[in-house]
Amino acid sequence: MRNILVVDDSPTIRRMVLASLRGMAGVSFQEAGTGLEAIERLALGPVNLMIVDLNMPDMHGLELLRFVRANDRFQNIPVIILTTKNDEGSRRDAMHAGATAYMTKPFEPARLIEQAKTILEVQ
Amino acid sequence: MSAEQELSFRSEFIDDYFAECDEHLSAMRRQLLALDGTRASSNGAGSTASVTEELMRSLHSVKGLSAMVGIHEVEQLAHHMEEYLRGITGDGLPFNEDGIDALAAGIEAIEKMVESRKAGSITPASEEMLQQFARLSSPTGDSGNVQPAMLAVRPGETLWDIQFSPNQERAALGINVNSVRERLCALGDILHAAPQIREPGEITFEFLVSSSRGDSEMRALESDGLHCTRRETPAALEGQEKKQELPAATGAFVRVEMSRIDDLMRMVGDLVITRGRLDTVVSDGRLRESPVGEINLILERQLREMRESVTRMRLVPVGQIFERMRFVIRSLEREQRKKVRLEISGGDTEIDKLVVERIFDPLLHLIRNSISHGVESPADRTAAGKNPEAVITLTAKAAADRVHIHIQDDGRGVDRSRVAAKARTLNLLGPDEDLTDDARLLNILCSPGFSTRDKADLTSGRGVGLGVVMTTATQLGGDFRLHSVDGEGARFELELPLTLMIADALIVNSAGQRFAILQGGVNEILRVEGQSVKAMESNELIPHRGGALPIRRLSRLFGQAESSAKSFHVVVCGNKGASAGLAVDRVVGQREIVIRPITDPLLKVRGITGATELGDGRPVLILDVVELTHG
Repeated sequence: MRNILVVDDSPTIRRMVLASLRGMAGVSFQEAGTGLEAIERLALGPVNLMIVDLNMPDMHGLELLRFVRANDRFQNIPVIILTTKNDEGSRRDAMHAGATAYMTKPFEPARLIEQAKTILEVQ
Repeated sequence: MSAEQELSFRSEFIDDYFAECDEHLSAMRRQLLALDGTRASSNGAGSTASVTEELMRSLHSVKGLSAMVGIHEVEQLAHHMEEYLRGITGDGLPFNEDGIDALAAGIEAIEKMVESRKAGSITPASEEMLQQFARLSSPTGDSGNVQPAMLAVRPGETLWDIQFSPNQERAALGINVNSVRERLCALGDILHAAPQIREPGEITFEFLVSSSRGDSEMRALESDGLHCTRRETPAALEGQEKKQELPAATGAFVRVEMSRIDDLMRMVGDLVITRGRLDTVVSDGRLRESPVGEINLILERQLREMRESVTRMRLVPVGQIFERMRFVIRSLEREQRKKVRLEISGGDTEIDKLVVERIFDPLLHLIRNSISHGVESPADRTAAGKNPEAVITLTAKAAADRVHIHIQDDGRGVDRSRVAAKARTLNLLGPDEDLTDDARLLNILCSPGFSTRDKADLTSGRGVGLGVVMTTATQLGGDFRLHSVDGEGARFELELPLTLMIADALIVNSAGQRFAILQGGVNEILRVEGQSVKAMESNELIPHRGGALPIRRLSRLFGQAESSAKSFHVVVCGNKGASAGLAVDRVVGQREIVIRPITDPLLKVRGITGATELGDGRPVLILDVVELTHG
């Protein structure tokens, strides 16, 4: 069983992400509404893939990503950044910080599932 | 995914979208007011930055959400507003009045679009509005970085370093980063929160908390495995910028769709009806003294408790709409060149969500009315020895199952002589009558077509507003009153039921058919002998409390067979001074009924507000007595 952690401060977006990936076999989901909550989930159990929003209160998605990458225990977890920010600068920052993939909202459910599958297969 | 699939995927989330948008909209209104406040006091540069940040984030969230559900009109406007704010923060420019106004208009436009989307169609924001933001904005780069978090410690508070390491055992006990954060929020302000790695693989959260609580209260946290260290206040921290407070985690709440609570309420309603049947059976025979009778009584009490608890679920604080009035007042102040301060009390009074939605427009009318008719210009106020800034007070308080909402201003009061003069020209008032009675005054103000303004003004229109308020209050089974003192101000009072779904009602009989009348609107019930009735042109009169009470017979209004009985019952309702009675054959009793609204426009019959069922399967119509007797 692979664990996917969805981090977004909007419960609606979290539900939409979950609904998009519902069809994947052999995965379970966890949700976090803030960066700190996400880190707690990481500390408590294994996570195989993170889907992270950028603009969140109290801990920006990039901060979360940098934290994950700076930590030996988590640095190999693939992270898909899923954000409304559709500019080259944000994309570059995210890739520099170690994002595995960068997707913009509105996202196509099919495309998200495809990326998630590819990443989990490669792993 | 085909276009069709995509559409259905999106529509699945539309209710969530609406709910979340509502939250963001009220947050944005709050943030904008905070910005306006700090701008006016011109000493809040630090906090302005953090509120701007919050506002930007809210707009960003709305933009993202709207894009996800395909509401591009909202997405576009939110984007323009966000860009504008980004320009402001990037260049460090202060806010000006125009900027605040533009943002206020933008938030209102978003709200309207969301509302109209709820109703089906959507009108995009005008090009002018979008361009306004484009014009006001100056694009700058966005780093996406979060500013460092620091705060000036308030006098009497100490800084605490709190450390928390999550693990499985603590998580199982419900001790997690969110619950810790909630507890810390209750003890003081969280200034900073960050994850740390102590040893390889071990995560610790560090919170910096400013609190006025004593050592022992803070140390009590240690029993849950938290580490607390008191920090000496370093001078370097003083005077630095405050980070926005971390939002409290909402672990204790679940969001439930309103329709589900409605369903639950309907089921409770069905139970009430079924128990009504049981009650009829039990009270008919010897069963009353048997165990069944006792169970029936217990069931009644339990059902009432259940009904009350479901009712409580539907309640929302009325303060939500009170706060929105600040916006209205702000724009009216500028438009009319008057100075008004709004004071709110009892904003945490709770009232049914449906009632809150219905009274929003009436409240708006009343506020507008107070500002354009009641409140004098600053010069006039100074001349009258008043503070040039007027005060409008919005008060809410609950009493039993009713909520009282008062709108009080300290303006000139209703101009009775002017209203009287106008009323005489419209034949609403006799030439010798005066208008000392407030109830009579209100009735005239609420008459269709009545306005003391010769021209409609933008704000309160042609005086149709007050009539709307009266109609809404009556439809909701409430009451609308006026109390005006010349030169000192006017107070409009709304009295409303806490909830609309289940209510106490009188059951009456007319020509063999049963009807229900909501008890809230009934003043008294009379027994009248046929010979005391005087026939008039369109109605009849009976002597009542030293005066004459106009009555109408339900049987005539509904074209039923006339009763030949010598005496009948009259249900009296209406405001003091404007009471009227509805004659029915007999008042049968009093029951708790479940109100089912009649929503089909084809079934709209004057004088009927809804229907109910008393447990025998036959429908009973609910009468709007005010409309029947006064209409």
